[in-house]
Amino acid sequence: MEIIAGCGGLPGPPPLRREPSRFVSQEMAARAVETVRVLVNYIVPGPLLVHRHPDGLSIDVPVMYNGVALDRVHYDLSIGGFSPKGRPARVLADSFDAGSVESRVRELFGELRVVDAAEFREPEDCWVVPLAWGSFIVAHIRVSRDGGEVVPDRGLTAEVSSRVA
Amino acid sequence: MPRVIVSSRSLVLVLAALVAPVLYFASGYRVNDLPWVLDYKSLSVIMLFLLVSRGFVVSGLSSRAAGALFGSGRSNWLVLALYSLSTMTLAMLATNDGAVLVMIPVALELSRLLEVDPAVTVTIGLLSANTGSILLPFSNPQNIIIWQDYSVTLPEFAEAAAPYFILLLLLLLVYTKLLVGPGKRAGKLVHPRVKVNSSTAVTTVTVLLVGVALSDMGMGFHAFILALIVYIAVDRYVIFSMDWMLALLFALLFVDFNSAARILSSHEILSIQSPLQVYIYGIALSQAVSNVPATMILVKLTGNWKALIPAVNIAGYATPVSSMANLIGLRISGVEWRAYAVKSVLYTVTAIVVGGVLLFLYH
Repeated sequence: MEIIAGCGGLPGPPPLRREPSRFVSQEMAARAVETVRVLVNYIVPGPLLVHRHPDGLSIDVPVMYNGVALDRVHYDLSIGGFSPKGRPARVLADSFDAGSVESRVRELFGELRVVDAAEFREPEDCWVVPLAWGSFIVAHIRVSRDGGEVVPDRGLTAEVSSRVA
Repeated sequence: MPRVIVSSRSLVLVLAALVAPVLYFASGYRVNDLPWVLDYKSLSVIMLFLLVSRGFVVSGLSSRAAGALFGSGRSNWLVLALYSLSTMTLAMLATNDGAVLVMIPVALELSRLLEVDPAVTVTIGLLSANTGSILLPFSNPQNIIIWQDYSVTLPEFAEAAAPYFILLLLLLLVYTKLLVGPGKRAGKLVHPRVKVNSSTAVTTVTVLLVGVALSDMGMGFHAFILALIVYIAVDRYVIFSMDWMLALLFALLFVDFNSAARILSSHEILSIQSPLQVYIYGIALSQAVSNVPATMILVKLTGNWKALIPAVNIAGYATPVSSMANLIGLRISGVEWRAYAVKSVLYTVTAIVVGGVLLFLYH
């Protein structure tokens, strides 16, 4: 029996049986970033998704491309801008002028820029390329492992298409 | 002025719910007539194809189709003509509302890339979605009601609708040229592809084919239940993406307008016999209550389904009210309804005249 040194003579744990990671490269990441760089010219805001909470309301805006949703950005009513990803902004209000928020959001979408790097998510087998507004990262766009195809957020797409009519 | 977050559709829903019991009992229906008044067969088929249209969106199939028209070095007119044909094809398979959902954002992007007024591209998108949905009986709710209520087969329906569809399609391509003007050459339009979820895509195409076959045999209710079960097993996102409030609204509208039709026919307030009468009433009524409710009434008042097809479909071009696809498209595009009305009026008037002449020659 093989004895593992440094373990008090006890046999070691069984080796981890993992699927070997599929190949990823700098070129694939660069291609994913380039795909999002082209895509950012075509994205449009979807219908406002208003969430009511006991301490106010928050507004999310889906990032839409060809009828599918890619991610949501948080809109901060109090500053008239986006809130960073991970921090939905809540405002104490019962109502708001949806028309002016929609037109402000359209302006803000023109200010989105692509961050020049991507992270890889093994479980989803895709790249994630951040979109930034000023110094905030506000959305993540998922791109297939080869960097060529955009991966929609199907749950959000379902939510948007159930509300659009 | 702050806008309270209550949609106009919620108000319509409440109004339809309040009116339903009044009209129902005033028309002399009894409680056990409800399944007939609800027109559960047509309602099931409408819900089935709403589900299919969502399947196309959630799977990414319709996005992929939208991206196919982007290429390089085409004239503005050719790009918009291809856009129009793509929208028509999508409307045929995934309903006019489903096509609008996907293709109107594309219209906005095309307007920017081709430097064309967004009201022009959105108008072309809406006219195309409504035109594409004329040919087949499952491509919009008014066709589904005619298909199910008159027990017409798919080939019979398509044969009756084909002359209007072909003529309106050609007319729209010419009108697109008029709207765009002398086209300049578009630059290279690179467009990233959306990843398609293959299991949902295959399921959706299968549900579409099986749904058409079963609905054509008068088994639309069974087809809807089957589609629900299949989507729950394969991809629940499709179920979540369904607009269930819209389904409820359709149910209430069936009760309202079937009851109203009974009151009108029992008191001989409205008698519609000739094809021309059906055509004129169909177009006029659609402007007041939209083309789907107009169809709900007219199917109970006339046996002339062949005249009803062009009437309620061509009526949908006219105003935002006359077709729900127009309402959805204008809402997601932000284009003013007046701008749409101005850009579409010449096509609408020509389509009404051409449709009337064709109806006269055809019958």
